[in-house]
Amino acid sequence: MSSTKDPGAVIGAWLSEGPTVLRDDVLAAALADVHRRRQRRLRFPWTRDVPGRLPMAGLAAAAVAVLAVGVVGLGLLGGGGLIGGPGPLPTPSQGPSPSPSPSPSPSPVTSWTIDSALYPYAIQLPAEAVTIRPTLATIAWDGSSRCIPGDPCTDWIGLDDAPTAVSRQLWGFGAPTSLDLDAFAADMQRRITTWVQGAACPAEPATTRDLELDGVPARLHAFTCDYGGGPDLQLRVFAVRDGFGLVLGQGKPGSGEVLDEAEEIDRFLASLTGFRWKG
Amino acid sequence: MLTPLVEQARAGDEDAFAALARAVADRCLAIAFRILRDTGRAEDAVQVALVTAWRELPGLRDPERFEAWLHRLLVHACYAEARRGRRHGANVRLLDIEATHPAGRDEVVTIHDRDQLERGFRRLPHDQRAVLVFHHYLGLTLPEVAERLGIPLGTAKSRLHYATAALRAALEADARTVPARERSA
Repeated sequence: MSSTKDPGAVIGAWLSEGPTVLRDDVLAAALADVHRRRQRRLRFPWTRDVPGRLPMAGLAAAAVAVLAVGVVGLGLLGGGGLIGGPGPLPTPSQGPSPSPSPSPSPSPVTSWTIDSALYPYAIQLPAEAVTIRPTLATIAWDGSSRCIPGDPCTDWIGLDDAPTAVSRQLWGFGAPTSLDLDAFAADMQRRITTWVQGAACPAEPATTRDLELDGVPARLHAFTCDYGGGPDLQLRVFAVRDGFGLVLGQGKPGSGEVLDEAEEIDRFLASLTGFRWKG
Repeated sequence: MLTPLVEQARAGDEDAFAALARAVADRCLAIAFRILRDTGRAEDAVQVALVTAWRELPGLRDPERFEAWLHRLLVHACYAEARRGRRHGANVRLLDIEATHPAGRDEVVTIHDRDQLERGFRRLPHDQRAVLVFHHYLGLTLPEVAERLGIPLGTAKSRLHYATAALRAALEADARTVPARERSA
């Protein structure tokens, strides 16, 4: 660059280069996907387009109401426990990793089992779930270093009810631990706040909930981080079984909106109804 | 102008949403490409953003804010796509910059500028890229960028500062290396 040029002008001119038209087949694929999806109807119309957090009183009332429904529903699903009732797991199959574009109709995978290769658990996902780009962990977590979705220490899977969008992602990882559940959950929450650079995550979860994971006591944490583009609701389930600490997580990238926490917890826990410890 | 379509789409009218999508899709692709620097991933991000917009549209209170709201969804989709990109990192391709931008094409951005900007930009975190794109490409003011991205003004300023400094450093590094190349040529 010549030293006489304004860097801002150079950057602006450079950014003006590149494609500016979306291919017709890509738009058609998106619209085909839209056709297959229902709009999310507001359970609480006053939550519409809230730029920040909901008023706490309203949120609390709404959360209590929805949690109550969710607990009852999941209790029925789980056959006694909040999570559980593992049935026979199908043989894991390596399904395709459909790319969202340009083909509008890649063959959806209608069910999937995360049968972890490194950690002692498996999850049979609900039949209606569609997986996108599932990946099993290839490096066991050492129990202390950073391990976030996107790292090779995590089993990772994208879920949605249509094949062309990752509207939420599930992941799992763990390591031997000498901590009990209370200490493990607190320790993991502290770690999470430091693992994601540039993200503001709370030291304490906004919501906790005790449950069972295939008969083992577990704890759910819900908290909201800011990864730079607005609030991002994060959910974790922690469990300790026979000296092994397990972390299961759900994130929902791409929403950009304040999510209904209770609804997301319901979805997360529903995804774990097929959870089973191994070994 | 889009407001009636937004209202119809918000009520569940797919045809209205299709018209809406056609009206905004090109701009979304342009933004996503400039953040991700990859056409395929940009297309994926636009698809995700449009589908998310359809699903979440009933939650949009002010139809006049549709495009700003959509852009925020798009940026989140770009971040998610980037995270997936890191995990599936083999899908990285470098552009043949000299082949696509012949020498002497214009006077503002030289071939070496493009090369260095491309390399410098790819090293930036995606949240800094987004601020750069919204400010320098869309021409939004920093308060507008902050509002559009849902971040504090101070955060937008610092991201723009660091990103600009990084790209300036890349360009100046280029300026220092060009004479050496010329000497060795």
